[in-house]
Amino acid sequence: MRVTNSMISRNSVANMQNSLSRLAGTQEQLSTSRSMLRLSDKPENVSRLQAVKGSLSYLEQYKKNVDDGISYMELTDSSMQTLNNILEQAAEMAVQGANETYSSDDRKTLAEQIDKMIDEVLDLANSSLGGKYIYAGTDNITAAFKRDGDRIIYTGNFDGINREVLSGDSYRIDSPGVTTGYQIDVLNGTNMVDVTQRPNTLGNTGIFTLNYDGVNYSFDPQTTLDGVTPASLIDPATIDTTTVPGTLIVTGGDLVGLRIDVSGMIAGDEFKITINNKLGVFGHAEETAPGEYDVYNATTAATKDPADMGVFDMLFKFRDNLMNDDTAAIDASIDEINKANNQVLERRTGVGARYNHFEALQDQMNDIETKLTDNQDKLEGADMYKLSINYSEQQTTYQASLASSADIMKISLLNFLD
Amino acid sequence: MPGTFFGLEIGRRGLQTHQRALDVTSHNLTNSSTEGYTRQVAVFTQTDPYTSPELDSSVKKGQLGTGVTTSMISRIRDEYLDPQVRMATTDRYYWEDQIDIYGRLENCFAEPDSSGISDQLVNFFKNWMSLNNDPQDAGVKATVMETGVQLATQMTYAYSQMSYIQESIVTPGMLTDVESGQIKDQVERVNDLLTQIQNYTEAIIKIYDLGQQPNDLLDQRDLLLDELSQYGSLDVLYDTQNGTPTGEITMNFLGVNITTVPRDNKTFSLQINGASGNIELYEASLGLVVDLTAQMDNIDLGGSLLGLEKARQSIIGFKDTLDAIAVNLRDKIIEKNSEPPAAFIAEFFTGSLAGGDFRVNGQIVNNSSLIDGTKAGDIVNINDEEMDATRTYSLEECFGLLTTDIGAKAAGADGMAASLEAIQEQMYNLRESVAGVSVDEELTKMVQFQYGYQASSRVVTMMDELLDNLINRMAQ
Repeated sequence: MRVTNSMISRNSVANMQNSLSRLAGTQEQLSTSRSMLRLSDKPENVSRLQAVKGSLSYLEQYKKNVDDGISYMELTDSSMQTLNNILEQAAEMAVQGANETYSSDDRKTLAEQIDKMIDEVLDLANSSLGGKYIYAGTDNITAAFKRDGDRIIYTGNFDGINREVLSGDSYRIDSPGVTTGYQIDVLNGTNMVDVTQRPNTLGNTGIFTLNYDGVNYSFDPQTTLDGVTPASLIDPATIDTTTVPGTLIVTGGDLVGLRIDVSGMIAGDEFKITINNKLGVFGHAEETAPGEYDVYNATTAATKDPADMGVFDMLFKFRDNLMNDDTAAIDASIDEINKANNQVLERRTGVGARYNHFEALQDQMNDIETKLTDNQDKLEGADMYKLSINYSEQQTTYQASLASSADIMKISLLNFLD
Repeated sequence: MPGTFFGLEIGRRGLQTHQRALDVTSHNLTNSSTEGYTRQVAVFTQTDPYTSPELDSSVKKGQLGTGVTTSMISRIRDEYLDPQVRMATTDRYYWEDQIDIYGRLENCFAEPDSSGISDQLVNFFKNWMSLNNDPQDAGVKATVMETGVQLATQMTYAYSQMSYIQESIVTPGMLTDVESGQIKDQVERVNDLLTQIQNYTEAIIKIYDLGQQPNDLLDQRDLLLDELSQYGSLDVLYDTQNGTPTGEITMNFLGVNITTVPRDNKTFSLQINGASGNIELYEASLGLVVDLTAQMDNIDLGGSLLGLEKARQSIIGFKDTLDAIAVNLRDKIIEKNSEPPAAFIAEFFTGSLAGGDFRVNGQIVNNSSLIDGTKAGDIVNINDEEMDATRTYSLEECFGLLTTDIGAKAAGADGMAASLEAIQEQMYNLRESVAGVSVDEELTKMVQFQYGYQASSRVVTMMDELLDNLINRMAQ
């Protein structure tokens, strides 16, 4: 092929440009130690890199949430431990009080001690962590339990404190201070009643029963209620409805919608939905005014369902029994206080299990973090050894192209003509 | 029998011919760096031999040479290579202008190196998570609002940057007009090139008519044709008569036949189709010639006009995706926030990117306590949800897909342009190998012609001495 001077200079320029651009690219990666600096560098990895970076960032939050949950549960556990101790002490006092050798004055002294004990329990109910009252639901800025003579008033709510620990997977980290019953008015002329807004005592997992006049009624979990899909309505497929009508076991998620068969009822009838076997740490509360609940009220105590009686109920009852000098009732109080103690223990066990779970999560997250960081490094990190070798090779090429271009352009017949 | 002064005449012819050849060589040397220049050669031919019809002449007819002349100055060019070079140019420029566009598009996004919209989106949801942990905390609400504002600002910035690039390609004017933009500039250049090609052709035809070689005019016309092939597919037919070129050409540019004789004043213009929004190439007399938008993937037509439209359509797609992310996020938050207590506001974001008014609800900006913290958990879940029935991926994944697409298109255009440039470069070199000026070669010829000139002048001197002897010294 015939070669002309302009071909040589054109090719030289193109080759120099190519060498230099390769060299600059390698230098850029070397100096930043990253292989992805623009979207067009390895576009096939852009999406994955963003996903990994996002996961790492979320993981940071999840770790914080788990830490948060652990400190919450540590405080919950220690407050319940104190409560157990108090109740054990109360049980001992009940044994003493039941002793026939005690005089009524002695029992009155014991009763005063129990009254002080009720204040102590009240303080525990108002335990706080970082300015947040841990037994007050999410309305936790102010103390939720108040004592007004022989009445314990709860002003918190029944929403659980949840922490998301994995994408879409959140767990309750507090123990409910109190639970509440639930009443529905039957609408006239309809056999079904929709329940869409319920206090969160029913939220998450638990066993629910619907009882009216000693008869159990069936739940019918719905995916839609009146055509509206509540955002987090539980999928009936995940609900384990036991064969016993009126009992519903929810194993996961947050039950938001229920349809209850109320055929045979008349307008004005009231139902009660209760959590079957687990009271709140401090018992059960009934609404007396908007946002105000009675945990214990001396005037209504006599009509309270025994299943709903918690720590306060038992202690007040015990105190009254001591005041009344009723040894048979004091004797019964021993069992009642132990029952309350067991209820608290049950809650404590639940917290312990979740605590272990969260600790396991912590380890798991550290592990995931290491892997993700490794992954991120593989995706966007530069292979420095390879780059260094490439760099020196490209440098040699560039120098050679410069040297040869400079050389060939100087050679001409002109140099030899006179 | 030749005359007494015949030898002088041969010498004169030699001088003149070599001088002419030296002129051509000088022309070549001085144009060795001129773009599009084709080297020329002075073709030496013997002049007609002297004829002596006498019977007893010892010199037979045609035996006596009479010297040299330049029969023509020819242009050394392989015309079969031109269509190939032009085709390669058309292919290359389809991608070449896209590189620049995609390069600018990449710069609209901070990813993957530094923190951009994807990080901000993650932060946004993380702050909602924090709010879910402390639903009443005023400080966390303010942070959620701030991240929302930043996210909206970053998305708006990226969107408007993309719009700016889109408008630099085509800026719509009144109704169907294209007001300005790169495509319009190129169409105007095409019209300008066509006019110049016509003008050159007219001059070339005249010179051919005179029986001369319009070498330099042909070079300049070929250069214009090369440039024209950047903008779209171009075929050129060279008209000949009895095997010799007449100088006329017929061009086929983007499927439109353009003749030079009779002069064919084809003028192109752009219109935006009112219904489809497509960019259409019109010709004054033919009407719609090419629907650039519909034909943008037609590599056979190729050229930068289609390439630019292709890039523009990609930008429109990218903008739509980004807007879809914004609108989807806005609507999902409203959906999760449905029926908030009266003290709160359901609309966290308002407006859309396409409407140019995507931002955090002004009421929330003024008072972040209007955010309903109890909905935070549901809003965090948006992050894991599919966007809708057709987009079965999350918002973050959608943004990931968008950036991957931009990156892949940029890398693709870069790679295509590089390989097609290499092909074009090779074709160009092949042509240059025939037509280009080699300085050493010309210098060699220069020396050769110089000696030829010296020899011719020597002949004249020698004849002068002979005649001096004959006229002044003989028979004294």
